[in-house]
Amino acid sequence: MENKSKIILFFLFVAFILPGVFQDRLDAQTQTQSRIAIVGIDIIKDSSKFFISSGMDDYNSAAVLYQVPNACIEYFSNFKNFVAIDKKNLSLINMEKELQKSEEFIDGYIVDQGKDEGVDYLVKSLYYEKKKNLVIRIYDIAGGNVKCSKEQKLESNILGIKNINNQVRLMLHELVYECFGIKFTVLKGNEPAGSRLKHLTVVMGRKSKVKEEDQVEIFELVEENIDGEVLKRKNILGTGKVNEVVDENFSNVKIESGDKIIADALSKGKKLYCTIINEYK
Amino acid sequence: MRKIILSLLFLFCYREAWLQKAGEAILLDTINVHNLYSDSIYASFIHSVTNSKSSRPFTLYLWNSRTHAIKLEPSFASRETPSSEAVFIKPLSTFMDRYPLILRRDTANRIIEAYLATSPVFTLEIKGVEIATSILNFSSKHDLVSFPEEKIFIPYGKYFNGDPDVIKGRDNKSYDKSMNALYKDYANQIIALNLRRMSYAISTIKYYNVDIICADQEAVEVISEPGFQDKSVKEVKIKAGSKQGIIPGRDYSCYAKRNVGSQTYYEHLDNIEIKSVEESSSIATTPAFNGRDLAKSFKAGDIIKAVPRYDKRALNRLNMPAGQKTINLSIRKDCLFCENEAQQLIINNPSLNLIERNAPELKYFSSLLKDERFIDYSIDDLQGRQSGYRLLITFEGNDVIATDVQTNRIISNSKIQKKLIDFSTTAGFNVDDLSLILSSFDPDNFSIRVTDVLEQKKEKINTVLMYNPAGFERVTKFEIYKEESVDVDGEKMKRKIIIGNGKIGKIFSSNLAELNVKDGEAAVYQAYSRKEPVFVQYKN
Repeated sequence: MENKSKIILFFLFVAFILPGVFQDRLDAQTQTQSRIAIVGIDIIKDSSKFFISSGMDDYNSAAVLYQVPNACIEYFSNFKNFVAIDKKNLSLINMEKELQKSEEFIDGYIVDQGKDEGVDYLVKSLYYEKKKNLVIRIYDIAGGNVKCSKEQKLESNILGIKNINNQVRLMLHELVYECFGIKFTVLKGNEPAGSRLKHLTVVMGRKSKVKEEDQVEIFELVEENIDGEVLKRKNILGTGKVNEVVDENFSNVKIESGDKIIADALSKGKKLYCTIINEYK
Repeated sequence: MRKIILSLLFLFCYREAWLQKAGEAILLDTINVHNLYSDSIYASFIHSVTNSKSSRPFTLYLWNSRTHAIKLEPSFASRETPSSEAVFIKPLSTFMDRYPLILRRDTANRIIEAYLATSPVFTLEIKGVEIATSILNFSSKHDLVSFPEEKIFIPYGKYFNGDPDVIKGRDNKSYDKSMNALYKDYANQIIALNLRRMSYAISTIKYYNVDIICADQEAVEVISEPGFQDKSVKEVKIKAGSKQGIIPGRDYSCYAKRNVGSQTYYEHLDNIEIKSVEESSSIATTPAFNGRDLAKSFKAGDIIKAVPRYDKRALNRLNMPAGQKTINLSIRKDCLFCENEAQQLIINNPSLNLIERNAPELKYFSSLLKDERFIDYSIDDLQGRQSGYRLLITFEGNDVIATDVQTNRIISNSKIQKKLIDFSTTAGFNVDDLSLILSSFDPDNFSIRVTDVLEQKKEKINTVLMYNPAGFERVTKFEIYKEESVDVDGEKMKRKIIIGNGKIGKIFSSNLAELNVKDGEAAVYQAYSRKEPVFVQYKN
């Protein structure tokens, strides 16, 4: 009798507790990713224009600027920390889902209904024609406020705005650090020649939208106690350049300055991080 | 009791035999016809299709591709039948009253000759959509009539006081006046040329019929002859006939089943042409200088299949492994005949079902299935089977975005390589892009994988066999890698270690190809001998 109750208890444990544990673990994994949606760009026209332009320059810059939302989608899709949600095709997708509810689909293939994913953050861009400044804002949907914003004059030359995709990508790297504190862990140092260190292996790869030649800042986080409150301060140790993007998760960074301090910090077992510098070259 | 069951069974069999099958709805676009010549060719084409003696029932509709309006072709007014497939036909005619003036110049930009370039064509773009599921079954383009360029030489000095291009830029009115005079003088010559070509076109079109438009897309079995000893095969028997939609005069290609590593594929042997058709078998002949490979396969006792020639989907379906999963997807587009390049690539892949949502005309045919007029038709299995799509592909500039409809998640975003001359939105979309989308969406079923080692010398692996459901393109470069697990702040992350490079060699079938290993043959061997999993990825 006692054995029987033990067996029942065991089965109850398996049936109720374990799935809960696994679900929690699964939730924890998915919770680390934020759902982010990208909406179009608004171009704020320069109303102070008195002269009549040929219209060609306006046409060119507008065509380039409409690539900004796509550049944002490219940045956030398959990014390790984010799940990009398609807002552009929302009406078409909803129409398709509604269509699939009709009886014509009763024996056909349909997608699971009610699995739409909500959005945690919204990315919106603005372009001020007069100042030639691009603004990218990330809105927090739950809080209903602007989580962070970045305004920057776009690099251009006689032919128009320079590589818009790359400029937006670098702006977004700065934004995601400010907004979400996304930084990349330095895994190890490579090629130690004497006391000097030349290369680092960093946990940032194609999934982190890093490209070769990107400038990086290498730093440690120092904890400061201010009136009983512990704050983290960014202590910059040096700079570097992405030498090679190895795969989806890892890159090699060539140290350009601060090699000695970085080597010291690593030898002492300190945790070092990298961020991409928003510097278009 | 037994008698009752037997009589019920008999009644059921009788009913099944009595019920008629749904046929084809052929929709001819009427908005492209614009002049006497095109009208005549088009009318002749309609006449030819209307009078087809087809093995399958069909109904002809006149269709407006802009307004999506359809109406029965008058001769079919009293004989409309329900349809299982809608075949949309968009004709294109370039017969003109005014052919363009071409100026040929030398290196010093002097005009060598001026002529009117006449090269009229009559082309049909065809798309077949299954009405029950909205799956795009086939997409093809037929050049019905295509004439070589014939030049009508013009003494341009008679009409222009200088270089026509310069005059056009300087004084458009004067240019138009000269061109009007030119076309007036040459009108009779153009009419004569057009009429001559039109009569030839009409005589060609009369052989064009419903069976050619709606030809079946299935592979059929070739009956091999035991004890065959000849050097070449002149005639083959096919295990399919008029019941299976085989039509005389149609070209097929024969393929023999082969093994490579642990995989199977079909290897091309010879082409054949159907000569005579019976109810469930047909006879085909091989053209001149063909038949030797077939003879070898007959002697070896191979399994041989015949596939409609140029029908890539049918051939790829034959090569698709049994357990391969399929995905329903759709392309965001504005019209039925838009984004053709991408559509063709997807249709050719049997593991993908392309759902067509730009054909509201299908609703009319679905409603016909419920019409009481067609109570004698076997149409129960055509209802309630509409297919939804899971993946939506959007093209914007050079970006290709794939979205999971179920969750609204963007699955992948990639850039396509376009050439300067590519104006179409989907031009440049190729197998690599498709592979990236599919492997991001369902990595377990759509990733590229190494299945076998094909060539190994001493302690080096020179060739491996790869399987990719998205397909392969020639001379594509790949990287071979293994993975190691790295602990980063308590999280296990995979790190790729490139151990070699490779280039596509022989392509066995659309999804099976050999990879010739360059740099790293020994490392690949070592990984294999240690039983470490080896992966491949496109080389950027």
